[in-house]
Amino acid sequence: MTQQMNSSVIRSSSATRSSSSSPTRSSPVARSSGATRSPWRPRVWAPAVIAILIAALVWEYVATNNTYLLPRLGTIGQALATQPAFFLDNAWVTLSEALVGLVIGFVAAFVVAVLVTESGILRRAIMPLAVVLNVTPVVAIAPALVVAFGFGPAPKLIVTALITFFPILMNVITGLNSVSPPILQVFSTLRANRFEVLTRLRLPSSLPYVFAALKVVFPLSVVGAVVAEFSAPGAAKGLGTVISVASSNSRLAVVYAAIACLALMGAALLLLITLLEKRVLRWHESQLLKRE
Amino acid sequence: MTNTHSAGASLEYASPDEIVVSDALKVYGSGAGEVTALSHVDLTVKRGQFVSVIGPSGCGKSTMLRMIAGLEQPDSGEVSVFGAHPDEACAAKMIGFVPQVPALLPWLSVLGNVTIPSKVNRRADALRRTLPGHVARPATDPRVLLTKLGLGDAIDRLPHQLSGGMQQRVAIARAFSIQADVLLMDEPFSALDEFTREAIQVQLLELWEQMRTTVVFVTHSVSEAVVLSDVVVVMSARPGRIEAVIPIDLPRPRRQGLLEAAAMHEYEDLIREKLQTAWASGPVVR
Repeated sequence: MTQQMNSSVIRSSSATRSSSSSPTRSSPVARSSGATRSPWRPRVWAPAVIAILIAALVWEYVATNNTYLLPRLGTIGQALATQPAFFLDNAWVTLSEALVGLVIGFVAAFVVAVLVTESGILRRAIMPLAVVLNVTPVVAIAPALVVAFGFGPAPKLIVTALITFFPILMNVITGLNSVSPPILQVFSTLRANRFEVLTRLRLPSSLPYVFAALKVVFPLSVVGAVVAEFSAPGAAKGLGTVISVASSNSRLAVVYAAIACLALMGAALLLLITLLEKRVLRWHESQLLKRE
Repeated sequence: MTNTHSAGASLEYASPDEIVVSDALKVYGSGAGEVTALSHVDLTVKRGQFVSVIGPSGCGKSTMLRMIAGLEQPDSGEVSVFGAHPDEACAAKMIGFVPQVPALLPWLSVLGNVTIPSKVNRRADALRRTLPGHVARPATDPRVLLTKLGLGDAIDRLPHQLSGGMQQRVAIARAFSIQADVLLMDEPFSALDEFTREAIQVQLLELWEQMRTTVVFVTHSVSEAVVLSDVVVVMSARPGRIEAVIPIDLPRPRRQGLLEAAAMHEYEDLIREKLQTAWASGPVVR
């Protein structure tokens, strides 16, 4: 099924060819039969629901006995319900900062990944810089960026782009290099040029890795936007600003309401990317395994 | 690739109707770890022949195939493909390569995989017409090709929906699709079970009898070599060299029923004998 499995079968079969060959193969039809199982059976959703209920009970217990530690869930709900427009407004600001920053980081990382895989000189020039960028805590750069670019959206976009850049870069590089040698040999005997190898082999092969990266960096982009907002409080909008203002006024319910908005936002983004992955990577083994 | 013309000019001895490997030497590693993969090997394959290369592991049969495919260069000696340097032959898309694993693109349908060779290197056809060994061939409809290989119903499926045998047939159709002058097959059936393998052999033979494309076929299986080939080349290891060239003088078309024929067993015994003497005469394995 997978390339690796194929080649391992060949290696073992060269020793014990006649004995290892089996006439019965799992037919392609049999593979898809698992898809008919319903995802709505209790044993699928019940564990998650029960775990959430237990967590909520523990939360309520702690909140009732130590009001200064946690607000009660009802209070958080109340905060959300009394001024929904306020939270929506600020959530939208944070979300748009996160997404625009992510797009900038993604495009930059993708271009660099292609350059680095195509040219050894560029790889030796760029990779050390990229690693230095990665080990530098972006949180520490944020205040400096606010000094340089002010309280507008610019520092938020830069922080988000920086924080998402490296995971995308590393995954896309791995993906572009994941083409199996035999298919490269076939393309080599056809004398496909580098551009054809890139567009017809390397880019499609990198897609599973691109999606793996997106699942990491979508939530990360929200982290980047919030961290940048922390560094420039009081001026602009955004859930990060809401949190830092509310916590300095000891309004715990508002803080946790904003945090709940952020968590929801991250979950929605993750869901979105998983659905997209399901559509785009129909052909990939990761999706086939899930169906089984 | 850059100096194909100078390389072509040095091949004046090369015949436009033969694949010629002449005095090819290939050494891997250096010092104590040095292995002579090919020791001054000569081989001639005539246009339209089905030639199998058989031998123990490490006899250099795959190395020789990869040299003809332009994937490796000999340390000394020459290789020419119908009068052209292998680089030139590749640039003109004269070579259809079938690797050990199907190596299909998992995101393309069966038809997409078979037509992908025609979508890359589009200048090949013009180049091919200028080469001395050029033979005009009618274009083959990939759908017809797939139907002949028993894949008519699978044209729109994705590779993961196919069995291993079907995947390897798609890889064969992909190699045939460019009207290649020569198909180079590197143990294409070694990962398949016995039944699938015999079925594909029959289909490959039927297709080959219609197309009469030159084939160089590397295999581990003696019976496979005899069933398929006009000529079987027996190689031996350490150093890699050609032990015997055995013409298989059996009538075609060869069908499943022939597999029992006595003449076939005689050829198989002869090849096994040659393989054994090759084994015995070689230096002791380190």
